[in-house]
Amino acid sequence: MEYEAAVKGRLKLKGTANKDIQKKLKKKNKEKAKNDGESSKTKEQNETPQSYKQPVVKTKAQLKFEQMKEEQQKKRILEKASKTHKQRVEEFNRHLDSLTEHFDIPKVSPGNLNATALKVNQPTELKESELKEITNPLRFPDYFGVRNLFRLKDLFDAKVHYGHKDGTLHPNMKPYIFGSRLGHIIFDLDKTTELLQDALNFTAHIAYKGGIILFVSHYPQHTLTVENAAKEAGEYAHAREWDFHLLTNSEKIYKGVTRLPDLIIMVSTLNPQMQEHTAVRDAAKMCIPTIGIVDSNSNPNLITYPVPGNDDSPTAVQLYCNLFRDAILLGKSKKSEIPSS
Amino acid sequence: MASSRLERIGSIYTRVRGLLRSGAMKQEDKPIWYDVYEAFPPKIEPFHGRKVPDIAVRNILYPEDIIRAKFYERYGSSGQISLTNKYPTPCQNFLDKYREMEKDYADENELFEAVVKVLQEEKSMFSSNEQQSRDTSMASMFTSVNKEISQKSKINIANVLSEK
Repeated sequence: MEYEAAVKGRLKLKGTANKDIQKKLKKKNKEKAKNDGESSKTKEQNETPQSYKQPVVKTKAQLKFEQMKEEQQKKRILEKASKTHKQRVEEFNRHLDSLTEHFDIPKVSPGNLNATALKVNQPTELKESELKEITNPLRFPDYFGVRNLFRLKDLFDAKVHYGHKDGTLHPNMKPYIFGSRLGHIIFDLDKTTELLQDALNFTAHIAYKGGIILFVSHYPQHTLTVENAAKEAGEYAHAREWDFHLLTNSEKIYKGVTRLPDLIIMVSTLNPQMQEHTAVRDAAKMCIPTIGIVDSNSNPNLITYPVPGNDDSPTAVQLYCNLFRDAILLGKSKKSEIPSS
Repeated sequence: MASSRLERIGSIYTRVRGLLRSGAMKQEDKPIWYDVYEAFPPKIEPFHGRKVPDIAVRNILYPEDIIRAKFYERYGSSGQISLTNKYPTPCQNFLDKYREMEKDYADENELFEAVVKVLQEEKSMFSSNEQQSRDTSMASMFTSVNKEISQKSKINIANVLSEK
């Protein structure tokens, strides 16, 4: 009575195979069987239980993958078992000992107190035992004593403070100028000394590390001065006409593998046409640091360590050449004094 | 080995640092200057388009410039002055005298005239030779040198020729 309204038949659940669908499949299979010539009933019976389960058959690739997995696992286990923990620790310690002390925090112990940066010129006064602890000149503010090479008065006497006239003043040079005396630009020698000391310090460190230093100047009056300074320092100079492709396409010009300079010292950053020397831009392109004497009509922006000062007077140029030559020689001399670790 | 030739983007340091961080440049290929730059960076980073503060360039003037202006207005310039000659120039002499006599006079113009008088008296007292040796113009340097040479050598060409 109550059950008359009930829906008879199997539950029509989503996702599972349904008799209706099976009926459709049946029909399809029957058609297929007629075409293929096989009995459809037997296939149906096999399919229905299987459609509930995942396919058990694995492909060739899957089988191989599992094989490789097992092999790798065996290998790993063997590797881990090869060394004991003690052996590994010992090896690691050996590796650490072989690393440089460059990244260490400087050690200050009673043993090397007299060797720390309390004095400027130290290496000659150290004992051999302490020498080993101090291996890196970069830790000291003035390892080569470059600050003692010149005084402000030397700059004044060499006429370094004279710039060109007001009209040719480059706006980027304004921070370095003391003032203008009746139209003539005068450099602030306090700033010049500071910047020159930085430049000389950098030069000395590069020379210490064995870098190639190139003196560049296209001022015909100073060619001899610059070339002599480079000769005495044992480094290189290019005081003649600058070929555009010298730095950027050097291998083609020299027809072979070339090593570019590690530092370029520009005694004058202008060429005879009063334009910025190509070397300034090319060095920045080739990631070569530059030190440049920038006069009041030059642009100091692209130069890594600009030194504002007069680049026209022979006395000034002679002074610069002497200072850089001395800085290079200082750097090289310290190289032979201390054995590298 | 990788490198970056873009000089207008960043500085050489930022570019090399970027290459090292990204792994494009290996640590063994690190340039020599990199560690030195990190230890001693420049006071101002070398960026291409760096803007510089627009500081006004001041005029260098001294209180003595007024006196110098008056002096040159009246007597004009004595020509090019040799910077290597250590003797004081006529203008400098004037200034020194002016400073000495400043306390006695109140009015500037009076003081100026008084100094002029005093110096003219002193000038007449000096002999001509000494005056020339203290001459600071460029031209005088050459004439004095010529004189020295002629005084030292004392060779009379006529005598030399007559000996023969």
